[in-house]
Amino acid sequence: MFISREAELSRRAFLKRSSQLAAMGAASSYALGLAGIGEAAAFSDVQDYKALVCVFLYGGNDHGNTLIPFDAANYARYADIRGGQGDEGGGIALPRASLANTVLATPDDQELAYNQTYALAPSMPRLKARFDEGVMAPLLNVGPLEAPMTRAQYDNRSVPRPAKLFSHNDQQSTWQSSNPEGARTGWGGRMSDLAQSANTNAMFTAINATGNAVFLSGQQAVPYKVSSSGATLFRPLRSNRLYRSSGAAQALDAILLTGTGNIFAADHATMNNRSITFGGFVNDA
Amino acid sequence: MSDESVSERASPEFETARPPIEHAPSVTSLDKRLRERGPQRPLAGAARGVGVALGALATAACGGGSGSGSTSSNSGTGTAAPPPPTVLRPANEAEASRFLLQVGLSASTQAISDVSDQGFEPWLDAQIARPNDQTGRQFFAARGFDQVDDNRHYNGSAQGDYMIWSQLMTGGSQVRKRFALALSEYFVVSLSGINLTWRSPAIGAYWDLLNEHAFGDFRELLEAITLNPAMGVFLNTRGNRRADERSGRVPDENFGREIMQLFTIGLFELNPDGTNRLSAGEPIETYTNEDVNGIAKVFTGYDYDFTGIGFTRETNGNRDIPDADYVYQPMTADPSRWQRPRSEGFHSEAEKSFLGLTIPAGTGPEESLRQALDHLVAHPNVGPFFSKQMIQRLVTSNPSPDFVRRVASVFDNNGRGVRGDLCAVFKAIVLDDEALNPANATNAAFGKLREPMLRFAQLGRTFGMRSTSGDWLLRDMSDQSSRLGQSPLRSPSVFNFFRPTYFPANSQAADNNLLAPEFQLVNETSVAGYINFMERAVETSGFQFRDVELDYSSEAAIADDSAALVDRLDLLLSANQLSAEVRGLVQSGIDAIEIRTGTETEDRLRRVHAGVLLVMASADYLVQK
Repeated sequence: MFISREAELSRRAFLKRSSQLAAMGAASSYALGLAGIGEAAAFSDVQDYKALVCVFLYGGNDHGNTLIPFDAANYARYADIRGGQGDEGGGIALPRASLANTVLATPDDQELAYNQTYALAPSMPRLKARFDEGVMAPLLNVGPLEAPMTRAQYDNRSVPRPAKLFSHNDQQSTWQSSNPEGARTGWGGRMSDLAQSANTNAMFTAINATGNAVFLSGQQAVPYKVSSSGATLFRPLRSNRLYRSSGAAQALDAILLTGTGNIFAADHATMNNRSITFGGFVNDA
Repeated sequence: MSDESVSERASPEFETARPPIEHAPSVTSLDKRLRERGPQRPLAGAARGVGVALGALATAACGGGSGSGSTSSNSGTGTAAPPPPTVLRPANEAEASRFLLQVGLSASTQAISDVSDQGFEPWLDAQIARPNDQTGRQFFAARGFDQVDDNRHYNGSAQGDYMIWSQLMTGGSQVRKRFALALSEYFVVSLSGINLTWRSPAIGAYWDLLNEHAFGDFRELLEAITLNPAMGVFLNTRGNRRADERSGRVPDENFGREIMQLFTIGLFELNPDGTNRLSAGEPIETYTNEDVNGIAKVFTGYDYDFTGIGFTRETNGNRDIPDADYVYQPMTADPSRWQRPRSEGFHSEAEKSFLGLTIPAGTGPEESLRQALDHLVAHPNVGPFFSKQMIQRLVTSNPSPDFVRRVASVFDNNGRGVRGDLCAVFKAIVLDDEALNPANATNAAFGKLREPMLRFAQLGRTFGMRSTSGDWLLRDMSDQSSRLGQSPLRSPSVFNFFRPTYFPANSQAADNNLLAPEFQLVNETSVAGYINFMERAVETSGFQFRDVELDYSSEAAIADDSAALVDRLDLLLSANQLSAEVRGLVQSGIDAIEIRTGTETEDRLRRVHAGVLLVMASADYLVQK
C-alpha cells in the first residue's frame, strides 16, 4: 500500500508523540488501559478512556486467502500461483466471483500501486462491514525487517536479514519485540513504559489476556494478566475461609506473601502479592 | 520529557536487546564437600555422606543401551549385589527426601528409609532396572478405551488425559516416569495439537516410547520419535511428500527444522559446558535455511503403517474405524503397507545436503534416515544442548557450566565408549555433587520452580490417590484461571510450556541474570488459579475430582499434634525446606481448626487438608532446591 506520510506513521514517530504526551501529563488518568498511547495516536486532548487492543495470532494464517488480489491482472497471478485457472479459481485459489461481496473499496484519499484492488475472504463479511464503516484497515508490506531490501538483496545478502528467519518461535518474538527469542522487552512494553506515568495505577498500563508474551514487557512496565472472564481471585482469601476456617485462610494470606532465602521464591511471592493487590480492583472496574 | 530522552531510553533496546545470559553465575561451590549440617535430624544408623567422585560411579549400573538387554548388577530385587566400594548415603531424612523428589514424583517414609539404607546410587540402580511394568497401552485396553463402540473413543482426547494422569498418579517406576516426563518436555508432542483417529492411544503410544527408551540410547529414541504417528501428525512428517517441480511444492520443513532446533543441536554452536561459542563476540549459528531445505527431504514419504490393521464399522455411522493398534506402529515409507497401498512412494530421492553431509541422489528413505540421524547425533552440540535442559527439568534452572560439562561428557562417552547412553546421562545429572550437595538447598540462586503438573502428581502420589471407577477421570488441566495452568502432554506448542531461556521481566531473577523457565507459567491469574484448584484437589471435592480419593490416614493419625503433622508434611512434600517462618504459619493454620467433640474425624481431616494446602502454597515448597 502506498502511503506518502510514512514518517508520520512510523513507530519511532509514534513513540516520540507518546513521550511528548506523557511529558505534558495530558493523558486520561483512568487506570485501565493505554490511555496515554490512545491520546498519542490521535494527538488530541480527549479525556476519556482509550485502550489499544492487540491480537497476536501465534498460529499460521493463510494470508494469501485472507486478503486476496481482486483486480484482473493480480487475481490471475494469484490464481496461477495457487493452482487455479482463470476466474474459476481451483487448486487452493478462491473463485473470483466468490469475492464479489467482500471487495474493499479503496478510500478516496489513498491509492494503491498498479491500481490494485483487494477482497477479503468471502467468509469475512463482518470485517468487510467494519472496513466500510471506516474503522478497519489492512496494512500491507509490514514486517520486522532490519532495513528495506529487495529480493536480489535478500539473495546476495547485501542487506542484513532479520535473525532466525523461518524459525517460528524466533519470528513470533521478532514481531513482538524486534529481536529473536530471549528479548527482554517488546513494543507494547516499551510503549507502556512511556505511558505508565500518565496512568493513575501503573499496574494496569499493560494488560495481557493470554500467556506470558514478551510484547507487553517493558523496562519498567510489567503486563498484568487477566483471564477471559476478568481477574482470578484467591477464593480462600475472598471468603476468608480455608476449609471453613478463617484462621487457616489468614495463614494462607501470610504464606502467599512470604518468599525469603531464594530468588525464585521471592519472585513468586511478588506475583502473589500483585495478584492479591490488584485482582479486586480489576473486577470492580 | 524531550524528544532526545525518548531515543535515549528507547534506542539501546532497539539495537541490542539480546540478553547476555549464557549461563547463570556459578551456584555451587564444589569444594564444599564437607557438608554443612542443617537443623535436620540425622537418620539413625545412616552412614554419613563422604566426599566421593561420583562421576566415576555414575555409569556403573547402566546397561549397554535399550536394545541390548540390561545386565545391571542390581537387577535382582531382593538380594543386593555387592555394593560399590564407596556408597554415598543421605546424611538424614531430608537429604533422602530431597533426592527422591529430584529423581521421582514423590517421597514416602518407606522410600526415604530405603534410599537411606541402600545409598543413593544402589537405590537408583534398582529403580532404573525395574522394567516398565505399566504402559499407557495397557491402560487403554484395561478400560476399554481402545474399543470401537458407542462411546466413540476414537474421536476423543479426554482418555489421553485419563491415561497420563493415571500414569503420574499411581503405579510403575516413578524414576522412569520422571525422566520420561522430562523427555516429553524436550521431544514435545501435544495431545492438544494432534488430529487423528485414536488420538488418545496415539499420545499413549508416544508416552510409552518415551518410557521404553528413557534409559536407553539417544539415537534409538530419536528414530523412534521421528517415526511415531503422533509426532508424524504433530510436525507434519506423516504424508509429507517430495518436491513437485510442476506445482512448485516443496517438502514440509516443520520436522526438519525442529529436529535440529529443538531435538538435537539447537540454534548456536555450544562449548562442552553449554555456553555459546563465540566468533568476534557473536554466537555462531549452527545451521542455515539451506540446511533446513536439505534435511526436510529426509522426512518425506512416510505414512501410517496399516500392516495387520483391521477395521470396524462404527455404530450409528458409516465410517470404518481402524484398530487402535495402528498408532503404535512406526510410520513407514513402504507404500505397500499404507492404508491405501501404492506401488510407488513419495520419498524424495533428490540429493539431500545439510550440515556438511551430502546424501547422494537416489538414496532411499531408510538409508537417508539412518545417515541423517547418525549425523545429527554425532554433532558436538547434542551433549551440552540436551544435558543442560535435562538438568533444568530435574534439578536447577541455572546449572553451573561445570555441571553441564560433566553431564555432557557422559553423554559423549558413558565410560565404555558409548555415546548417548540416556541411563548414564540421567545418573550423571541426579548423582552430580551440584544436585546432591545439600548446601545448595540454601543457595539463593539454586533450584527451580516446581511445575504445576508435578505438584499435582506429587499430591496424588504422596497421599495414595486412587480412582473410584478405575478410569482416572482427570482431564485437561491447562486452564490457568480454574485449573493447574499446565497439563502433561498438552504443551501449547512444540516449544514446550516454557522456553529454557525464559526469565520473567522486571524480576529478581532477571536482575541476577538467572533463567527461570517455569515462570513462563506464572502470572496474576495462574497463581490464584493454582490455589483455587489445589484447595479442591486436596480435599478431592467438586466435579473435577469426583472420581478420585486421597488417603490421609497416616496424617490424620497425628493431626492432633500440629507440630508432628507439620514435620511430616515438610519432610514428604518439601524435603524439610520450609523456613521456620513458614512452618510457624502452617502450624498456626492447622491449629486454627479445632478438634471438637463429635466431629473429631472430620476436624482432623480438615487439619490435614489445611496443612497440605498451606505447605503446597508456600514459596519454600514451590521452589525445589
